[in-house]
Amino acid sequence: MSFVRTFILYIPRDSFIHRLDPATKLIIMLTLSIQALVIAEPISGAVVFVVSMLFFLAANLPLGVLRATLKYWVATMVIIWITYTYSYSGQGSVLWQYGWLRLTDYSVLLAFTVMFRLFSVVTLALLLYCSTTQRDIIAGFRKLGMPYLLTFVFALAIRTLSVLYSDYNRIREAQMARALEMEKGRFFERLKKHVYLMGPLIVTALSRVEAMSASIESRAFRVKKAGKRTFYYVTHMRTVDYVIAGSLLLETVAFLVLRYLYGYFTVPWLLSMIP
Amino acid sequence: MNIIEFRDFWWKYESSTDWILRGVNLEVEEGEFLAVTGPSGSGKTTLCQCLNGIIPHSRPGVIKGEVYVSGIRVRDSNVPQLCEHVGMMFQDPESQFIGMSVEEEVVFGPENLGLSREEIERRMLWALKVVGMEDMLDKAPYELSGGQKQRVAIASALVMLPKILVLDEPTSELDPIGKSEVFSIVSELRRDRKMTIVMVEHETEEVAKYADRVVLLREGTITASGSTQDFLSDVEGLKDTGVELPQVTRFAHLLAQDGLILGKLPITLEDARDRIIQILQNGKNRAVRS
Amino acid sequence: MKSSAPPIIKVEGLSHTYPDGTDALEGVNLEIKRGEFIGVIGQNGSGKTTLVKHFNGLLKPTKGTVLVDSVDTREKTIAYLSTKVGYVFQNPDHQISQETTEAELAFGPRNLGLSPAEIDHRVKEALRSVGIEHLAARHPLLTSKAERQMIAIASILTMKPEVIIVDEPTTGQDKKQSRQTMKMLADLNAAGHTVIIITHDMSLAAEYTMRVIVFHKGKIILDGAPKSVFRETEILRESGLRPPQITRLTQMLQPFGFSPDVTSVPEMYDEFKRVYGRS
Repeated sequence: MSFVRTFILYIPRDSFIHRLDPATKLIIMLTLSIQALVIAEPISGAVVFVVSMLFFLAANLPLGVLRATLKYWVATMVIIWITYTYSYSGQGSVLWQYGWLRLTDYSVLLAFTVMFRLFSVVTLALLLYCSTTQRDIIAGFRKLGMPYLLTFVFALAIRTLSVLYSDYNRIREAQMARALEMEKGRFFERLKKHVYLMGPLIVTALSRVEAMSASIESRAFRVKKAGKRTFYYVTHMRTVDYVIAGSLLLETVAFLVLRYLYGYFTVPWLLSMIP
Repeated sequence: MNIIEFRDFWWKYESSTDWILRGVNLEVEEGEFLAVTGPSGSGKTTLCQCLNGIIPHSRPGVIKGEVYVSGIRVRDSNVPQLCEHVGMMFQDPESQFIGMSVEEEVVFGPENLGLSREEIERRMLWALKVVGMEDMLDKAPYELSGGQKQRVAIASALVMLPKILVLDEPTSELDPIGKSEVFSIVSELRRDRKMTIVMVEHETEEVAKYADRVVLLREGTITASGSTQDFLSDVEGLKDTGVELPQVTRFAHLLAQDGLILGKLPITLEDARDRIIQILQNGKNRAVRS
Repeated sequence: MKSSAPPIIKVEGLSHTYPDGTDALEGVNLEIKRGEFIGVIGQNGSGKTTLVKHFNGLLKPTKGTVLVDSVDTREKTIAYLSTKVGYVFQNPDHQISQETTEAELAFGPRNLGLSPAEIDHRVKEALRSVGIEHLAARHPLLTSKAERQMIAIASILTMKPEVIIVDEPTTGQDKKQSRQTMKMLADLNAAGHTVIIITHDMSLAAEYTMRVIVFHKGKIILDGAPKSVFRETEILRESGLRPPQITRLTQMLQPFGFSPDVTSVPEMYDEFKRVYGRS
């Protein structure tokens, strides 16, 4: 099923990661992402990225998934580099200069840091979404304490968008059957043609929403006592889940202490480590 | 005992200038199978929504008169409370489906009722078995046909094990045999569990076979009502109402105009067959005698 | 009839597989002659909608060919084919995008780039032939469901297609509205249009169409006059279908001399008189 149609990235595989409880996977994603985002120098940043990639590979996920997003990674890299050549924080020794564009050793290190941060976070997010079914992701969030109403709204949004997307296609076909050529014309012309799809789409969306809300209400949905309902679908944490989750949480705490109390994982710290 | 009562009930949405329901008077006995028919836009869906309190509690509007469901005065109650008595299924199966899988969809209602997980599982499997979808627990909505989604919608209403089951055009997406199956399922439920059934339907062939009573709703008011036999055999009375009578009834009407059929017109296939055979045999006997 | 003229639609070995892998059609062969009135019947997912979408180019064959007016659909745009084959979708709300009915009817011809005079002429003609002149200045969304269906059909007529396809022409309509819609389609057929309806309603197909095509799991399992198709009760049942009630009645009465080929109430009446008169 195409992603665009269903917003689901789940790729079924038989892997160690797939078998983990979704709450564990969420913890992997959150703890490693926090570390990636808080690290202020590229070497440790690279290490976290490598660890994220290892998790990704451990899930038997096809690298094609990453490759599909490759052009966004390259684009982001280019933007980061350009930004760092413009901003001059006055730190470090200048490596290269052209007019008022300058590159210092600090800015180079930070540019790499930001790059690795983004790569790590994207890999971890893809790891989560590709190895976990939507139902599990939601169950995982709930287990970690997210209120039911929030997860319900999230799931409903995905379903609604999915339905509206197929409505959009049907509307498009109906208009194309009246010779509306969606492919012809320059960019702005084609964009304008979408106006003829918006009217019917809005009308359809409104009636969908009306019907969906009646459907939900008719099954005794309560907003106020929402959390008190029974949850039929539950996942169980196994020993390995507790071990992984526990170790990562402890590791993250230790990491944060080192980072903020002792200044580890920053550029000055890195430079001081070089003999 | 009346499980549903409408007493001179009027309803108008806040945004509309016209009354949608006008002076509706209706009594439904417990265990009855009531069919509601009428042209589109006549207020049938609105009528259904009065039964579980969506009207007036979730839709802004003006109300006059009373509705009683299972002895509860709907105005004084609320939707979640009424849902314990009334299970409802709506017209468009696509819009009703809010979960990401069949299983998720069907357990949604019982989860909201706060039932135990064992009870939920039991009911879910039963409801899906009844509609013939027990092998499709993991299927996502985009993997299902319109008819399959409609069956899931029926199961989602059944699973609430309500005293009153309200179905708004539950067979619109189904093929003829599928339609027949739904009617027979619903009829069995009525028998085995004493469920009261209110079904909005155009399919007069199946209604003739299974419903106890039929009412005709036109422009918000009930203009005709009677036992299924009386209602559907009133060919003259229903002439300009837009109700499509069963073909066998229309045929029998032509014979009645020739004096060949006396008494109430047959409304079901089997009934018609028996009556025709009778006529032929009477004709033969007369021919033999003379 | 014009049996020597080339078919308006010719389908050869058509197979269609959707991008996600589902096989919707398998090796379908079909010829539709000009002026036919055809009912396409089958369960959801049987392939009937998939087939019909090939006629105006919304779908292109994965295998095989579809010729519309002797032209391969793969070589033409949907816009071009929409002037040959008009497709009225099931839900008119999916296409209403203008503020007046007139503008709605003009939408198609405008996309074709016709002159304002020509557009105006076609709009007036369509309003007349569908009988909705009184709705010309009304906002389409403020009309009843049945009226919107008429507007949708009229807006396809302004494209002046030779073939008109209507998906479920009578869903949600009561008897009077259904009769109106079907009479209009019958009139269009009498005027020379080839009409194809997709429907679940067997008695509708029996009453109005001259040919019924039954789909099951991507293949055509029955193709012929309604009377001959309705005789195949076993095959129909496998597809979840059955003949109209009146046909089933006459089939039950076959041991008493009734012909199995009755498909409407007036026919049944005549048949009864014949059998009764004889005994």
